[in-house]
Amino acid sequence: MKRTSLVHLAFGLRSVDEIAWARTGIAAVIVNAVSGMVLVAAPVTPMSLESIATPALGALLIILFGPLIGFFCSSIYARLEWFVGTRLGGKASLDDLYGIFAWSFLPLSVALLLCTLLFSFLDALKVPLETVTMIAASIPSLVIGYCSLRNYCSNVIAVQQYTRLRGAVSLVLTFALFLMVIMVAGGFLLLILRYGMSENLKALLPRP
Amino acid sequence: MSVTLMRWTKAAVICFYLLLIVGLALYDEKLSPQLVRDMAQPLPEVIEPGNGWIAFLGFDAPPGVSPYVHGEAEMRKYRDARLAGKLSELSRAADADKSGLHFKGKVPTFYGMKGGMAAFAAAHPDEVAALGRDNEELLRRYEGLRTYPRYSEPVDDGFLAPIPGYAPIKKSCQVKLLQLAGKAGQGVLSGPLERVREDAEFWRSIARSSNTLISRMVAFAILKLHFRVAADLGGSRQLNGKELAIVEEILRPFDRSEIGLAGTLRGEFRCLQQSLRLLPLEAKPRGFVTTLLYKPNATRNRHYDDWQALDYIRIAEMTPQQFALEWKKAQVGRQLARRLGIPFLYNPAGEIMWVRDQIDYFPYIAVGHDLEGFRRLARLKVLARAENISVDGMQQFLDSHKTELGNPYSGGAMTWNPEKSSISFPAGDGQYTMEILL
Repeated sequence: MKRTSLVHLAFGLRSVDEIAWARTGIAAVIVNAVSGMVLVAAPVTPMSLESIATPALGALLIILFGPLIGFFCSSIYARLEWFVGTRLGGKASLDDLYGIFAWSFLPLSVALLLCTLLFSFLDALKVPLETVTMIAASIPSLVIGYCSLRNYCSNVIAVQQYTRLRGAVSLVLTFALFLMVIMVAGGFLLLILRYGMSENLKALLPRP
Repeated sequence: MSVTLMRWTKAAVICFYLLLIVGLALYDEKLSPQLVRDMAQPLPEVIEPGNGWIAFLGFDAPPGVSPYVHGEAEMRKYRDARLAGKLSELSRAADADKSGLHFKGKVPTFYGMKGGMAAFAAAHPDEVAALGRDNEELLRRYEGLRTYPRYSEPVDDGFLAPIPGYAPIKKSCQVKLLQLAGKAGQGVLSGPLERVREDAEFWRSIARSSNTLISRMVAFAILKLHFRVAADLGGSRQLNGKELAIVEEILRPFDRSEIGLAGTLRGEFRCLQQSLRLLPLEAKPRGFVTTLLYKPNATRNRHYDDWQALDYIRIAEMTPQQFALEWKKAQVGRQLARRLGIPFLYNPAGEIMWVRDQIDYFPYIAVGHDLEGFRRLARLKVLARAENISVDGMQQFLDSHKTELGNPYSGGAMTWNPEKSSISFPAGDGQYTMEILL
């Protein structure tokens, strides 16, 4: 099996697609778990550095809940992509989209963590966070993030056998739908926390 | 093969997280055995005839209603609402209820006024009479508070238990003291002084019995009023032997249970512990989400560890001089460094509460020592008058009394300010000056 570096994964335009085809679905699941861990590490690591949380708690949060976030995001997003894609005449299977998402998501998470760590480092060095410094510190992450997104979009369009316009519509619709799902879920959670499953909330639900 | 493996992998992941979340929701620590032992001592029941606190609670009852009956009903309503999980509804209803008896008029402040209440009562007899007339029922209720044989606060009902409205109680006390000061100005001093003494004794007994900071601080504030009146009356003329004895009795030294906050802080801690225990009953939503986010035992253990580490009881039992040194040391990093630890996984809400809430009891303990200092100032004023100390001899007089009536924090003599004709000492927090005008 050909070894692939993160640099190749992030910057090579066709690499995500190649890897997604070459690796098994289990590998994609594992990559999603790792991406989730990196994503959770982004807010948790500065918390440990700034003495808000103990390192032990930070490590446990990353190990236990990182994979959950990874599975959750990848499953929902890939399913939404597939749902929108089938309605726009896309040819990709759910597994194809799941694999592409998994391998694209990893460099994106690393970019986020890199950005957070850089800011924490500058903060620890007492460097004043002016606009220029912030932009300069964000450049590496922005480059990696841009390449990951470009790779994801290009590979999805290729695997769905879309035209550019149809591909763009599909990607935008999927992203909007994902945001809506998150907002509805978050709103429902807030509603439960605010009112509880009491008479107040039941009163909002339709009666049979 | 691959598809089957994927399905099993996904099922395993879902099962793992379901088990993890249910496990985290169900797990709670065992209460520390020491904490259980500390909390085991039962406290007297609050709703019981003869408990003055219930009358305090019902002090602002609607006109014609007995404060005790009203207070008892309020307390029962609170307990019923807590059991039913309807505390917020009760709170809204209480806010909307305007049927209570309110204090009418404005009691003037006497801070920095030469002659204090006695001078005001002599100069404004009509205003004092109007305050008495407009608040007749409240004044009658205030007199009635002294008839209760005991005073027990609802410590085991937690912080959400109703709190008496202390403002009308304090204002009624001020009006009563104004009336007594007015009577004293008309001639015979011993009668009004005797009534000031009785009232001060009542507030000393409240200070002794108080188990919560709010009532203790109110008792201290009201005792300060009594000391001020006694000093104003005693410092305004030559007292005969009987009158001087009454003033000395009002201004007698505190015993440890009256001025020390150890008992009150124990009560506060117990109240906090009970609040943490009762929190799930008051939270919305009850049930799984609350159980997932908040674990009473884990939260209580964390607070108990802090309570032991901070050792406030020992600090509350220190002399003012030891306390002043301890406070100075504390200002250089006494606060415990708190970080979210592993318990955050099963008790996130409790852990965040624990990290955020760090109560500093030093300023409250200082209020007791400040009051002791003020008592000394009042005593010095009366003594200076009794011994006819001249302005020139005042500093020498203060120096000669520094052992028993000196600055409580430094042990040195009180400060004489000839321009203001005042004696003073810096309060415990170093920001204010406790002062009495001669």
